[in-house]
Amino acid sequence: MDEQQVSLGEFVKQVASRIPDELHMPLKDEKPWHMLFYRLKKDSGLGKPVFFEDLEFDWVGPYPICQDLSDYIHALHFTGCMSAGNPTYDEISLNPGLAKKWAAEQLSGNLPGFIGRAMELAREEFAEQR
Amino acid sequence: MLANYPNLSRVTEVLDSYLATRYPNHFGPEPTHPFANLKKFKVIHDNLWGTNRFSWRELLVMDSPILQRLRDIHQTGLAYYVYPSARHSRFEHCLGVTTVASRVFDSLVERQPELFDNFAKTLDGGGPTSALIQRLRSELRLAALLHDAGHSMHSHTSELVYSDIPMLQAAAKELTKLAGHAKNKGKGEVLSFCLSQTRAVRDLLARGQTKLLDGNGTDVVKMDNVSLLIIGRSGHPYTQFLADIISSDFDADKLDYLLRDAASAGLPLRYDLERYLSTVRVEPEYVADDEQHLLRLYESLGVAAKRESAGAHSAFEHYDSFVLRLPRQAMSTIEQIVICKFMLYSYIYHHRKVRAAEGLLARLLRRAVCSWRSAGMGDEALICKFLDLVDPSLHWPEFTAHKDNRVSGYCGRLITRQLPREIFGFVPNMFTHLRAEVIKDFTSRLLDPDQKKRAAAIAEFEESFGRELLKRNRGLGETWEEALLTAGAWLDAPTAPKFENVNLMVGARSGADNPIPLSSVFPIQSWIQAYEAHRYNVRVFAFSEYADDACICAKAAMKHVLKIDDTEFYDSMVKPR
Repeated sequence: MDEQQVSLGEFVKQVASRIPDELHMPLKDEKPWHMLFYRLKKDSGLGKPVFFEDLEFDWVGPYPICQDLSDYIHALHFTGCMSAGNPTYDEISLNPGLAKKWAAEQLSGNLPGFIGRAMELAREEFAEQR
Repeated sequence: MLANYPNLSRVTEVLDSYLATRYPNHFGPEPTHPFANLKKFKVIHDNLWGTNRFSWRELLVMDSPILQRLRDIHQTGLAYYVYPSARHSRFEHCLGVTTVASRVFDSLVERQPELFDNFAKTLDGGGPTSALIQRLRSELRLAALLHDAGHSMHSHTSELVYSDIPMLQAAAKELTKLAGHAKNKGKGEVLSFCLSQTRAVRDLLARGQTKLLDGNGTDVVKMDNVSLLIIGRSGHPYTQFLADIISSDFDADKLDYLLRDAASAGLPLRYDLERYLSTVRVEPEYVADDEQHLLRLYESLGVAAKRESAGAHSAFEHYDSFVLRLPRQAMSTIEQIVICKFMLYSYIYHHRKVRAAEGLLARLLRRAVCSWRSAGMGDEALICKFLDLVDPSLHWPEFTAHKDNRVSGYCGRLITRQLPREIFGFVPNMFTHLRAEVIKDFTSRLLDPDQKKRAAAIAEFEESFGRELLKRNRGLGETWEEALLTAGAWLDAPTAPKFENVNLMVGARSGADNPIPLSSVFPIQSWIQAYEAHRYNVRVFAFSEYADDACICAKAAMKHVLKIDDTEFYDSMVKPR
């Protein structure tokens, strides 16, 4: 799978599977997810997946919202791929088995480099919400 | 407004040409409608909303073929195969949305009059507030009336096939840029928008103006505003709340269809509209516009909206706006609406027999589109074709006697309700241990936002399924695809109910400055998770006469996809007769 082939869903899974323990993926407040993906869309780094060209954001509030991203995070949640064990549903965590499986997928081209860039931005966005 | 959007312009031209040819008395070069002078208003009764007044302008649109065709399109598609009384039409829904939208608007005017006084100073250059209110109300009601005008036979089922028309896909992309929010899901909305932009509608309204009984039709509406409201955007950032009334998570569309669908199906689901009306408010909001969609829109409309720099309120350049909000006091109503929506998905829209009927119809329509394309029909002709189709069209020889026996055969089955059965399936959360991860991974691919990836995940199962069917019965066809079609077999993974942008909709307290996300006061994520975990089904369908074979083959195909060697695991997915 390279930057030409990867889809939004597959990219979300790659990011989620690489989130280190000290970072927490938000659920209740989706703003960090949307800001992360909007920054990635604007990023001109090598290996940016092609799907970002068509990734659409809604401009209905103070920050952009990607409905497809929101739907997919919820889909990963209600299908049990991710769980929100905490009582407030502030954060989600990825099923460890799936994290291992997704992180082991073969990435090629310049995609691994761009996922590294995504992790840098995720550290900024996801850290801000805590 | 459409100058920089060639596909939207072209679709609008196609619709104008279609309307002029198909309905010359209304929209031709020498139209004869309206024949007589118009009454200023008429009263129409509705089983949900009682007695309602409709203006001459609304009656003109309502009595035109654009709206009348909706009488023959069922609001809930083929759900009447499960709920026999669910035979209400898109037409009565559109009238209902019009009534509810103006009730919401009237409630805002009554409870926040100072806001409209301020709008009159800003938007209408100091004109009377009453004139502004009348114009906004008229535009809102017209948008509500026209919001579903682009629907075709059996509503959302034919919308699935709209996705196969590249011109509509391109127009939907342009509409996203024009509106500044994604419009890729419902292509019917593109047609509703373009219909409202036609010269046909503008000319009809202009003729009506001269046919008023007293000749005193001086009030005006801006059709660009009407069209924008249909797609959830207002012509000025201050009046965004109007667009929210037509298209948002707690919009008039939802307020009508939740009650109408439930009542027609005979399901005892309710929510408290009066509480909604007594609490709903207009509140200030900052609307960011980093991609400059709104800048271009307002410039094209000649609207002088002040663009604010990035700062404390937003990290992007933005507009000061006014949006619709439900305060904390409306929480019980919000709960009722959320519950109603979940229940309707579970009971009606995602009912296995409804999904079976709609899946069969979608396959029929896709085959029919292929045959029409083979006969030389292009995108423009297909768009017109779908505007000609209404629910009774299924009984036309065009379908019943179609030369492709899949089309005619499926049509016969639909008419006589010989629907496929659910033979196999799973709820992603029903498994434990190692198997859970495999099935969840598969489901995550079935729900990928990329349509091609979703199709590939489904095809991975269906190819194996079809090949297994062929192994057991060579008479099913030459290829695995034919075997699936003969057996009426497919894998169904519907999209789950959504609550878009729900976190932007709630105020902390009535009139308070700092809105808070709904999820801070109402555990909507946990509700969604808990509900979907038990009610979201991935299903495999097949015609009854092939059910036994199909069940064995579905088990083998699932084993091929999941690569788990455990008979009991697959046996647990079999749906007993």
